Amino acid sequence: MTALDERRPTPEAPPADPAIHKAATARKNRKRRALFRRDRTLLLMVLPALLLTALFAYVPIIGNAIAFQDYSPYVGAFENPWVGFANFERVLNDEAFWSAVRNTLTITAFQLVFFFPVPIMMAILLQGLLSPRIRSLFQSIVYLPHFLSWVIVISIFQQILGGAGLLNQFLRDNGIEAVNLMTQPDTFLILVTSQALWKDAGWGIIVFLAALSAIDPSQYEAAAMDGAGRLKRMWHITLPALRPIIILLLILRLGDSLSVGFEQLLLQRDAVGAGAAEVLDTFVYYSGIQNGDWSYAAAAGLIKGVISVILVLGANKLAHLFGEAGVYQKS
Amino acid sequence: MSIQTASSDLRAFAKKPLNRRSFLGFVGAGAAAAALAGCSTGTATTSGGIFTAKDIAGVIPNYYPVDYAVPDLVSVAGSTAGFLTVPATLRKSVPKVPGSGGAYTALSPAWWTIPSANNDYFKAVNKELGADIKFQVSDGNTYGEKIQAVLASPNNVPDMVVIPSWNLPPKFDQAVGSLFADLSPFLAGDKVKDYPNLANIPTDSWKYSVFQGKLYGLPYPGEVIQNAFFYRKDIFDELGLEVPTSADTMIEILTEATDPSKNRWGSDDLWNAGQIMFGVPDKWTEINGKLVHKFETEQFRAALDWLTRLYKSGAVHPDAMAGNNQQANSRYEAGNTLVKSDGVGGWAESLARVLPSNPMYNTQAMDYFAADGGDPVLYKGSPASIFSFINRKADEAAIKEMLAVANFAAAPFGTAEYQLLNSGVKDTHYDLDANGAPVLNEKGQAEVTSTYSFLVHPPIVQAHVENPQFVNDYCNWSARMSAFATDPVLYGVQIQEPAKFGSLATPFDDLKADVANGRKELSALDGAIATWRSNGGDELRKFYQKYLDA
Repeated sequence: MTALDERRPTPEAPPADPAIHKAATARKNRKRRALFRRDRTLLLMVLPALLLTALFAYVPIIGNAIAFQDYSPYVGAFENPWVGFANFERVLNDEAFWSAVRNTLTITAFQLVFFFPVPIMMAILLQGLLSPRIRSLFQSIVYLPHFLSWVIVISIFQQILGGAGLLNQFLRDNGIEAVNLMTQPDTFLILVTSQALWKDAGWGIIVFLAALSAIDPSQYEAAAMDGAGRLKRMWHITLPALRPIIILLLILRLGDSLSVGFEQLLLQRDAVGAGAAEVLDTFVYYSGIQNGDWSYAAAAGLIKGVISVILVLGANKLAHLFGEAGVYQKS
Repeated sequence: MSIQTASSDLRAFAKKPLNRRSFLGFVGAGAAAAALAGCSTGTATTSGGIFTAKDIAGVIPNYYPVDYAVPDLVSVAGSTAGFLTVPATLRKSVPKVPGSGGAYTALSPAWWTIPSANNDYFKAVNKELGADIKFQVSDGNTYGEKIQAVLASPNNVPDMVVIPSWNLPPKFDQAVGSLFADLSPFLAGDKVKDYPNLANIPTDSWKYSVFQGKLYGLPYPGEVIQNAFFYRKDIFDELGLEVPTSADTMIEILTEATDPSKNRWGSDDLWNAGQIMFGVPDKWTEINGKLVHKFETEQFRAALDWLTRLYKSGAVHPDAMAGNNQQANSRYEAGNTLVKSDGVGGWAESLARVLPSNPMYNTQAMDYFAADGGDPVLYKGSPASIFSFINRKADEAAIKEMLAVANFAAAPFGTAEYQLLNSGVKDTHYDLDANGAPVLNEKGQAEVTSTYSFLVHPPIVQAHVENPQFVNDYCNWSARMSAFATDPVLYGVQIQEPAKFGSLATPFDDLKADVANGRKELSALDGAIATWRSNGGDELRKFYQKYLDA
């Protein structure tokens, strides 16, 4: 650092009036150059990641242009006729699109209440387990389903809860009328949420466990000395320590709220019907990829993207209002 | 799933869930296409051009049938002919080595375990061909997605591309001219005489391979009857069940056969069967000189009503009601269901799968009946079910070499070439049984595959000589059923619908599932038809009317 300070240019004498602005700019530039010199190694290290992000995240954004075209992959992009907002008009006037939006939001809202808190609770419970061996055994068991693909998860559910599954075999053997839980649109919300819980709740606790391990144990000891019980300690120490990470994940989840388990729903769409299981992602998939209406699907996808960005920015702003760090902050 | 399955069957097929990999493959393709836009050399052709029968007659080959073996069961009214024995001596239909040492890539689907590249079967056939055909074999169930991605990137299109008719991507009329070679200069009229086995392919199949007024495709001919209701005769006999003869007896018998405690249900999803019983047209029908879409017909409504009653009876396997079609064959073969509808090709495939482990397995095709028990109304299957295309970048010599390879692949039954393509090499891939029929051994079952046949195929015959009983069953059934076959409207005319009509049918697939499962009333069909008409159905009708008037 001292070396850097030595290299830092000495401030110039106050310049003549007309040149003030110019000199200020020059100073700024010099400062920037100095910062650049200081950080060039770090910048160099960031470069590959930046290039990859640009190549795979930013360049493909250009592809969104097809939402404004009558696109065919077989003619040059510039030969495809431009149609303005016609595709967006079609999307917004399509009852199926709005039905997909409704289903998406319903599933997200339901999972926000019944899925999101579960990993937090599990992490706190796990933290309370004293035996490290039981704790790691428990962790392995709840992590494992995360690594199964949705096809397998749904097959397992089908084998257990489906019309020809274990549950119904048992019911029939005991003279009780069978009920196919896999084809009930009314309980579909509960079904997809329990599938998601089984598969991913365990995986979700990792980040909370990390946050929990960062809490200084002496805080608990001090609180216990002051006579705080288990619940009080959780309320006054554990939860406040987790709050930033909970808010961060909540905001990210909100931004993701228009994407709910594409594969999971695609696989079960036929079983319960489009009325309950058609979400935005499956809608885009069917209209664009299956039926080759690329521009239409791109328009629907773009609308979804814009709403998601608004949700993230809005939630982040809200977090700032409540004095939280949120996902990012302007320095 | 059988390759002969007709289009209606395959719509359900196309809805099979995909994994994320294939989905991302698509997104990538779209982005790549957009990024590569500047380099594209696409020659955009206007879609919707109508070509008259006269235009088409000028670009297709003349028909010169060849005979290498006389069928034991002759074709009746276009039914599939059958062979019970192999001729004592196999003839050679391609006297000269067709290839001149060229190496070509070919993209092909497989609905079975993908054979390892460069195995002894490929080596043996390529040696006989005198050309090195390198197959890129891809899973048939996700082939439609694969094709879209490949065609969207012109630099990656292989020298030969196999595309099943149900996988022809939307806007294919724009792709075909910019990606594939026009074959009419090599095959039209009497030019086909250079390739005698290709000249043996019927005219209707060639007509159906004409896109945008030019001959681009090499056809895999279709059969007149392409779908069947299969039933487990062994279990039917065991339970003393009659074979159904009407829509109502079908439900009665299937209900009687159902016993969930024994893990046995009457049937799988019989939506296709229901549509056939009630005479639902494949797409359009003509009523008083006007085109009426299948969704608008009374037959469609009646078929859906029947399917709803069938579902309600409890005779359908619950997994089938839940829309799981992938396991339809395994459910049937395990005896969990007793009736299923499938493509006719599934018959032989199923026997090959199950007979080794269950010699008592007996699957038969029901005789078709109309819903009321009368004579059925059957619509002829399309004259070609699979096409292959040759890359436009190939020069004249290369195209000729590939056509010579195709001529070899089109060798009919009774030739040495046919035996090589279908059974591999004697002692390596097959052994001869007591009647001299080739029977695949373990290596043969693993290696011998249909990839060459997908490039182009001789007229369909039933030649499973190793199982004469099956050939008899099959051909007799086909002969009885072909008597009822009629030409559908616009039979054999190759029509590419504009992409904007692509999503019109989806609500009806959803409606079928909703109504049959009791989630919606049959009356919801009226609303769906009204929406269909205003969303483009009427426009689509005009589009087809132009073809009808041409």
